[in-house]
Amino acid sequence: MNVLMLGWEFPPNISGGLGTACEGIVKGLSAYNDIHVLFVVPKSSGNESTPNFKLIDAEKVAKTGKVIFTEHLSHEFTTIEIPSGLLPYDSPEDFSKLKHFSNEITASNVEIEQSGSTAQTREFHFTGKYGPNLFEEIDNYAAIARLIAENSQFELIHVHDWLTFPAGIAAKQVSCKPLVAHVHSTDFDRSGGKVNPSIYAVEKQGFEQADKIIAVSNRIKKRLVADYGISAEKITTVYNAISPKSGKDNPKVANKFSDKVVTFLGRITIQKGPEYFVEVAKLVLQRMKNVRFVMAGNGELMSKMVDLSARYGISNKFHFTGFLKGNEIKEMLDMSDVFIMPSVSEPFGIVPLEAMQAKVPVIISFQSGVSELIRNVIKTDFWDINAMADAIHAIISHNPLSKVLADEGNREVNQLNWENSAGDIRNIYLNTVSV
Amino acid sequence: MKSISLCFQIHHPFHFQTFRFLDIGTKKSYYDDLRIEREINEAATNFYLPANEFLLKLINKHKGKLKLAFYISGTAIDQFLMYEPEVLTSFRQLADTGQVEFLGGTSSHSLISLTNQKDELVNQLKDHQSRIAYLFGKKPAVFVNSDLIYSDLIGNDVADSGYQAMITNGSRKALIWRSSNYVYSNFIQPKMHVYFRNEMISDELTGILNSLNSDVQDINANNFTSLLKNLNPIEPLLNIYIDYKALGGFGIEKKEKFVQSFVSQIGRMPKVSFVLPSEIAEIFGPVAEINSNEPICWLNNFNSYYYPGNELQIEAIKQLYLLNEMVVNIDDINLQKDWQYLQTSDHIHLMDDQHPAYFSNNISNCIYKSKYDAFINFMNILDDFRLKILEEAKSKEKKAASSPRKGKSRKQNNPQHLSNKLHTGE
Repeated sequence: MNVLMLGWEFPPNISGGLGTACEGIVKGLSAYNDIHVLFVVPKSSGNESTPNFKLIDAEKVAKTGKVIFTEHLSHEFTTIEIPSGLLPYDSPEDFSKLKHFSNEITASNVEIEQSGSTAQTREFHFTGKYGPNLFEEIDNYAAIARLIAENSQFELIHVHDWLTFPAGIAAKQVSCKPLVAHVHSTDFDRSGGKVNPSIYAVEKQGFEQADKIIAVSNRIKKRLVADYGISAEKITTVYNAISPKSGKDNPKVANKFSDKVVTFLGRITIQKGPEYFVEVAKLVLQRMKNVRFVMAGNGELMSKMVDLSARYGISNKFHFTGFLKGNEIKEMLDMSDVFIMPSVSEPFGIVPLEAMQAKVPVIISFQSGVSELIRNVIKTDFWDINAMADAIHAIISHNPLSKVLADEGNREVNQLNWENSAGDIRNIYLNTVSV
Repeated sequence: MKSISLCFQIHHPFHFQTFRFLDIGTKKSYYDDLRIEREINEAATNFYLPANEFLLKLINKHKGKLKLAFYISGTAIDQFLMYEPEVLTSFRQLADTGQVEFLGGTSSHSLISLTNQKDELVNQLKDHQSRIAYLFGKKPAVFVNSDLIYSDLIGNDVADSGYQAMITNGSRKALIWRSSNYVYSNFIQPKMHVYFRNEMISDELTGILNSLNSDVQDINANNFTSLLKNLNPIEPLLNIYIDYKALGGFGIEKKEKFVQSFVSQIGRMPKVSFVLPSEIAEIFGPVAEINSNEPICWLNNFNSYYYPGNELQIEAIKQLYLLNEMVVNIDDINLQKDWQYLQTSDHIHLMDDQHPAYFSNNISNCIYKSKYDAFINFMNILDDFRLKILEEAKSKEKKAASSPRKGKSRKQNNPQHLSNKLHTGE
């Protein structure tokens, strides 16, 4: 079966867990010989290429208007990149403001062989026009999807989150093939409750047009039923997984402090609950001296958090790293004695799994999808700073607790794999096509 | 001739409330008093009082034929005294019939027997023994460990504290091919007799009683007595040991009917009679020594080789009993009580993933969501308790220093020595 998959980011150029999840799904599906994936991703840089898959120059696609589904690739998958300014997590208001921020990431971490500056790589070459409005970008993306759909053969369309929904619907209209919508987050999660009505409309339309919906947690499934009026029968929960750590273990990066390190790692946005982390740090530091807190990541609330930690007078024990990528994430986790994710609303949350792989004891909020899946972590409510402070204190104070969490957590996470999740997705494909 | 010993267990722990590390040193109470009171009231009203009344009638009716034994944990006794004293009165009425006896235990359903702190074990056994004697008029002769824990060493230690018989679980792990329906002797001290709870029959009886909770079920006692008939007639003994709560609650009328017809059928059976645990030793001698290196136990929902437990449980027990030598010198009655209540095995059971409280289909009042929560809460309480006894030791030291005569300390260590140990030994 050929699957036209529309995503928007792919490792290593990611701004969140979505790209990682897409990679896992596509790689997991490659274990099944009867599933061939054509993956379309908005252009980000050009260094995604690995021996496993092939990139097609998106500009050529746009100019010639031709895409040929490469059957000779057998079960490998193909990636098509489309230059675009799309960012998965931004609302239109933030879009222009944050474009600068994301370019910065690209520039500092990625070598670009294509013509000129990073700014140019983010232009929309098809139309020659850079969309000042996010919804225009989405429409452009839909236009490309239509073009691709007209010129390739596939039996099913699989889209990931709202930015790709119009593209998926467009592809469905020209091809009359079933549409599977994969929901990694909703605007309720991203906005912390202040839902943008335009995004909501795009999401709702996508859910309604989809023949089947895959939710990354029951939490998301409930949300779709309660807040979008989608029938529960249409929705199947398939949890994300995590790729096994690469064979050779790099030497663990030593913690340079004599103090214990408690780490928050993620975008510093309302969804992730960073202010609870600062509050917890304040509580713990009232009673303990041998501990430091690290807030790793970037986001619109970062300066607020710097201010807050200064106001609490804990700046000497509270550190910011800015955005971390690839190996830096691993190094940060290696240095950590506790990983904490106090997310207010986390559809899934893949970083705790990475921490468990790195044998770091994990604290997560009940308000995360991943808490439905894993047992060997400490779970608290995101607002319960006393419980979180308590958990941090206990892990630092009692070696056996820290050891049990690290060992049993590691054992648990090693049992997860993308092949199983992809197998569930494959079943959904087969059921959808047979109907 | 077959003798049936029928024993019931009554145990209620002092449940903890959430105790954060920020609560350490704030004098916050460890206990969820509301929950404790609610549960003991409920148990007394719907279970123990009606069941006692029923059994009293039944004993009088059968004129000397029906005999029963109870194990009431030290924590349950304390809760009855605090909230439901009439339960103790009604047990006393049962005791006064002469057909009912009370078994000995540790002072707070504790796990002291898993440590090598024999002095404390002996203290705890004596403490419970004298309380039972005071409340029910007779010193217990047969010992029941918390969760029926038994091993060769435990049997030996219990023998040294004056008991000559104890009841444990008829676990396959210890018995292997042997039958639970004989008396055995301890491997180290042969004068210590070991009685084994018949697992199959006890569980079957509990199952039947619990099934009478529902409206539809209506089992007659024939089923159960036919099960008894099928037992090997040569085997002389049958130890039934179940939770007393099985006799009360929903469907109590049906349960009473069932027990009534069960007792009268036994009464009609030739060569079958009820026996008190203390009488077993007079009737039967041990047939063999039993060898049990590893501890065995009886715990609902868990297997009989549960102890010493997982890493968290082992650590918690270790840290708990490290405090023992500090507590020895503490006279403060409240701290002594806390020390007892901290040791109750239920706190340790909750540090296990498989505990029924963690399964969502179970309606539970448990404050914990996982074994980790249980461990963290317990360790916080332990930290706070350690702090309290340190302070108490210091203030004692001061008093001793200010008074011209050397302070008269209750136990062997003098306070100076103790406080040195606290500073360095931890």
